[in-house]
Amino acid sequence: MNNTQALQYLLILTQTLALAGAHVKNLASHLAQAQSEGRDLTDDEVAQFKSAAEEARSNLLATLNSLDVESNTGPVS
Amino acid sequence: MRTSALATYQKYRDTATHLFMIRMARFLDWLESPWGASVTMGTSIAAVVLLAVLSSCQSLGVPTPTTFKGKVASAYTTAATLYDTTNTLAQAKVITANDARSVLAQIDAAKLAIDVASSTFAANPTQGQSKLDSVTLALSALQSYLTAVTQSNTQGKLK
Repeated sequence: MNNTQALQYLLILTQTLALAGAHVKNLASHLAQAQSEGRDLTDDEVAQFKSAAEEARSNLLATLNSLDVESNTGPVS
Repeated sequence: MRTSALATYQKYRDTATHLFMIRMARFLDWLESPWGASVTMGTSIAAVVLLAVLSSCQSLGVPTPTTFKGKVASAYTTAATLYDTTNTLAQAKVITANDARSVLAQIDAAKLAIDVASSTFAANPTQGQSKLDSVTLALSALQSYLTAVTQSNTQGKLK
């Protein structure tokens, strides 16, 4: 692995950590807010987390489809 | 023989950014040294470990969810994190597209199970909670798998 690859690889790992951190931070924010107000999460709040998961899934599918195009295999549905 | 990055960038020594460029060049050259390689490997492994740590809310000072809805939100968050992690690892070709597809299918199954646990909880809280606990375990196993695969492939790439 040369220095450019090493830097690229570290950048990707950093991005991964940043994305994971953003999700966890969002969860922490909602949990803390609900806790401070002495209530449970609302259905709408739970739905937001589900939407975030679905958005992340769509992004992954897009990546897999682009990788399929690169390797000339069939797309993922 | 390759011209070192330091030699290439030393010509910029009279520009306003010469200090930054020379420092960056020294860093790039250092990365190719045995010390740099070992530190790079250490950093990468540390990043993988951090990835695993991120899954633990307590380690980041995140309040541990105590209610069922809080746990459901936490499970969806873990699923989102896993999708994103798989995405970046696939883009970086740290894992193969086939591995990514396999992980995708398993996260999908877990996400569906979260939905089922939520529906079940309304009619039977004990059973719903039990189902959610099972999903949480499955998601943890997936995190461990991704961490192990990443660590293994990272070491392979850095050799």
